[in-house]
Amino acid sequence: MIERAVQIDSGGGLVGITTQPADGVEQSLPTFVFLNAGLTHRVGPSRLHVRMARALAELGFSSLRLDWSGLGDSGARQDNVPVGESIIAETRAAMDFLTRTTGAREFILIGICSGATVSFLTAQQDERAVGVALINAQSHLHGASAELGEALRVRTMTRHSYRIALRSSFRRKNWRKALGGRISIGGVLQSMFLAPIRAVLGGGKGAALPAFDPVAEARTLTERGVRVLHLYSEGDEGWDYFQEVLGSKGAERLAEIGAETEVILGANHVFTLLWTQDRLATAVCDWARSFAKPPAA
Amino acid sequence: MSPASYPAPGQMEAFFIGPADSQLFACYHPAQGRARSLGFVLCPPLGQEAIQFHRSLRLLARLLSEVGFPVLRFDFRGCGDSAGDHEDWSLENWRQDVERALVALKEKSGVENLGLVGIRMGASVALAAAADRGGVQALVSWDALLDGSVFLEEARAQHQDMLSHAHVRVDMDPAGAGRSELLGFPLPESLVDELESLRLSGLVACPARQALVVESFPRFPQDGLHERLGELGAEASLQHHETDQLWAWTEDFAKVHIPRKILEAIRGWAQELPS
Repeated sequence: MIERAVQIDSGGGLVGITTQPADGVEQSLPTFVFLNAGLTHRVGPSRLHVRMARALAELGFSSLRLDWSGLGDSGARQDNVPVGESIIAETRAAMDFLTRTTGAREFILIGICSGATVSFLTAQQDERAVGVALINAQSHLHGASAELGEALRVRTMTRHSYRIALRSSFRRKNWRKALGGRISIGGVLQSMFLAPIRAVLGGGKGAALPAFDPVAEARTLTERGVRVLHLYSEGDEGWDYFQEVLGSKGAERLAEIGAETEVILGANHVFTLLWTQDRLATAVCDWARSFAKPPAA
Repeated sequence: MSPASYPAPGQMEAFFIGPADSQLFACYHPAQGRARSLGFVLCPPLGQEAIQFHRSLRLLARLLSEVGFPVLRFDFRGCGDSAGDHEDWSLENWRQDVERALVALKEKSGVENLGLVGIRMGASVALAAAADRGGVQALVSWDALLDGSVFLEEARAQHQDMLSHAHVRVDMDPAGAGRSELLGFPLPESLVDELESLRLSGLVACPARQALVVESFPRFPQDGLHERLGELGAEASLQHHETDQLWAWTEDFAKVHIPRKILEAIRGWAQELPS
């Protein structure tokens, strides 16, 4: 495995680390591009991006761990491009860079949380993306409507509170905490009841949603042959967003168009426990293996 | 030096130090304007603390370089983007890493005088490395781990707190319970052994002629280190900058706490050093 520090001149001075298999780049395999999770720099939460990049290199995949402008070690942009546009432009600039320097032509975009959402949005705009691994993604299946996004946020939080309290594997632990006075009952009631009621009374945001088609959003990728993997932690709100927009049979609905979904029970948003990190890395590597083309007969 | 080193905009260069199998990721911030004869290597904290503090370290490097100090920051072996994993975690390895970083700073900048800024675990390692090698002119120690067993006790308590509050199920580990882990990272037994015998009160050589001891959280009192450095002949000062708990684990990676006042205080102290 060979790792190099690279600088990508895209107006922001992006910094990244490339990882290549020790025995050279297998040109038939796509290159992974890891995108920032929140404000965490390119190593990822608990250094997960480093671990996954190195595990993928063992399987023959090259990768880039990228810092968007203003994050990690990348410089801040000096223009006024909105961040929602710049992070997609910079992800595409990173792909340009890899094409120029390594000859890579196909890419798999991978990220946790915001990195997952941007992976999806970038793949919609760039046909070089042949796969997206979306870890705890949300806000990606309803288009760009801010009003819809706000309404879905309230619904997602309400669903999350109910699920964690009543249907998740954490429910006993949480009720023990509540009975022991270690969590705020008021806070729970606020998100389960008061927030949605206020949303309805305060302008109907929580009441009726404008029509949208989340399966059609996902199909923008799958009909192009892009492989889509949704990976969720049981404790993550993204899983509630997914079910809110797609329904309780959401995984089956996406499976019908060829997208895969997996939930890691007992895991939190950032995969803090080591066994959940193992599960995540295994899931990503297993999925990556399916990109290996069978040898010609 | 890796052949693949690139100058980065903003007067910073990202590169790797050393051979591939043990390379250390580093960022070099050249001095802006008139360069001073003193340069600093920044030694980061460990594990989740390092990830949460990355942005602050970058800002500190920028603040120091803007007033003429060349600065090099790096990731310890098995940490960040550097080679290796937790199996490489040891205080001795990290002391060697400090030495490699100091050599890289000299090569990059040509400075004659060397300084270290260490934070938490990085401070403990920097103090030990500087005491071992000698020749370090200035050292900043910020919330150093004065007693490794106290650090372990505190970190394990935070881990237990995380287990009780976060949406995690340790009992669902298919390998069964009993992993040695700390807030998202493995905790090798060999490092535990080293930490349990770590006592900075046992420093026997003066690590630097000039020293600044920073205490930012009362639960990690630094008076003992300040006194010890004085006993060893350092011109040491102690600054208290009580702030929110910088070192508390958080699941929310959309928030970063940057203790700018402390960073500026370190820059101010460095600017006052005799040239």
